[in-house]
Amino acid sequence: MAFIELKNVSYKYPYTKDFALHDLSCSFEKGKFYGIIGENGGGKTTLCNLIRGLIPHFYLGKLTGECLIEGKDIREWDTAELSSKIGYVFQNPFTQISGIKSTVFEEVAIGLENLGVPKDEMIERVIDVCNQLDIGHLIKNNPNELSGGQRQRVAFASIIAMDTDTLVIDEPTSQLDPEGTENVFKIINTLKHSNKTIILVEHKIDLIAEFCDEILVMENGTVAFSGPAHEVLTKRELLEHKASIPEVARFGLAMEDAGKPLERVPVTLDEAYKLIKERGR
Amino acid sequence: MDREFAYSYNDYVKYGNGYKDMNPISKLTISVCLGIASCIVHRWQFGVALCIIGTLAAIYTRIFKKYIKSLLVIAVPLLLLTSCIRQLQYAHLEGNQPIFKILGWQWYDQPFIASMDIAWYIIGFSSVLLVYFMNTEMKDLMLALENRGVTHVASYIMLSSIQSIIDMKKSADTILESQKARGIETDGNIIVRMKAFFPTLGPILLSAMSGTEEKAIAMDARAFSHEGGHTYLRVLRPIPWWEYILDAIAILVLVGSIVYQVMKTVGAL
Ligand SMILES: Nc1ncnc2c1ncn2[C@@H]1O[C@H](COP(=O)(O)OP(=O)(O)O)[C@@H](O)[C@H]1O
Ligand SMILES: [Mg+2]
Repeated sequence: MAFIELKNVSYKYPYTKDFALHDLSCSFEKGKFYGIIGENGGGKTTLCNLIRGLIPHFYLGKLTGECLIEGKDIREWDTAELSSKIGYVFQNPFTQISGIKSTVFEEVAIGLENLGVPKDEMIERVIDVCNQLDIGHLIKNNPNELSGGQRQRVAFASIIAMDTDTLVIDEPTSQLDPEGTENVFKIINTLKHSNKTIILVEHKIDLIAEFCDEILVMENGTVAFSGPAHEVLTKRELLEHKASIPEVARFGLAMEDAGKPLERVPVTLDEAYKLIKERGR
Repeated sequence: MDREFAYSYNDYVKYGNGYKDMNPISKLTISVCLGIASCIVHRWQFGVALCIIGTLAAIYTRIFKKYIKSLLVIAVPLLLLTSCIRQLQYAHLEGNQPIFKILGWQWYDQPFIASMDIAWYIIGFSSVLLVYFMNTEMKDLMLALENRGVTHVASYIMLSSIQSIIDMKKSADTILESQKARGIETDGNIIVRMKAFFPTLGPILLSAMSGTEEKAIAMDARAFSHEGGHTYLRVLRPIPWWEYILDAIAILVLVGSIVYQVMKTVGAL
């Protein structure tokens, strides 16, 4: 059975007319890396909120259909328990700083304090995570005085420190410059190899292509396409949709149209390079 | 990374100053007990003594400049006001001895002492409280309170309220800056400033309110409501015996002052 299973889920935020999620069905398996892409307002964040139980426990509104986490309905889960199982890095970095800690080091440790992790272990984990996220030079800084990008990394660090089996990450690079983005993806790469279940919302399609096992394309509150990354990212239908596909896939499809197809449509640069090299022989 | 800094969290919270390192609750107990005693005794001698203690503590903790500025703001108007009022009020009190004349205004001894009693008991109290709050981090006080059973929820509400006031001040400054950039007058007399300030209140309050909701969610993501054991990165020093003794002395002084006052009232003194 899938770890997370959604069946015909519809959801309306309170005081709104339109459905943010509409007849959505999908499932997530343990240990896999999922990428969620799609237009703004397509319901990606709302889906994250649901998986993490913020809907219906925090955002009221109208929820129908079934959403099962480990076979138990989301309505029956205790959010405190979910918080120690599913880590959630939010889209907006400015509200993710607690506002009660005076150094970044303390900020990153909050989740561990709440989980009751012993102090010496806490310190080691925070040091590790700060190194991983390249915020070691910020540990003495006041978290309330950081830039958007720095906050995003600190918030990310504080969730990673909690070491949950599942991570929901909503647009972690929206505030970052290319270098910061690359850094975050280095971390995501390490996470990928740690057997965690990861659900990542990200616009940067090339990065998605490189990391994800499975991809969901969201549109108007529902899943328009889903499946193995390679399959989804080379779909011709996607060209007509607002969701983008990697440049190399676009190139591969164009080659097909021109009657000179590669062995298959590539989705990453490396793959394209290999395919072209092989054909050259 | 500054590993030394990271591992300093292995130690108790330490500032390297005898007063600052005292437990926030012990310090508060001492300050409040002495302050209340000063109100009860209501004598300038006690107030002056307390003020001297406060000032010495301010010097010892290297905050004298900041401290004296705030204290003078309280003390100078208070001294002037109470002494003038008392001179006017009790100018014809029986047994008044003239002491000096200012610009033809005769001052007498009894009203002068009465005014000093009032002014100094307040100055003494203010002095110890100023030293306390200038030297004590709110988070340390909350931590000490949590150690005594206050929930971390209450502590969070307290600390984040303080932070949101700071944030509101920041966003007010930003808005005023941008108003200035657009050519709206923000400097000048009080009316000009009020005119510039009031329209900013709406957005500031709104952003503070919407921030609260998202903050609550963000805290939830950090397992804020997780039950079963909470640990702390920052741990306060266990309270040493001499702090208990200082506390006890302060409480004794308070009790003594109450006894003194009661005896005086019933006429035993
Ligand atoms: N807190 C909220 N309250 C009301 N409506 C919301 C809220 N958050 C999102 N919505 C609406 O739900 C829809 C889906 O939004 P969202 O999930 O944020 O999309 P995405 O993350 O894909 O950009 C949008 O129409 C948006 O306006
Ligand atoms: Mg979103």
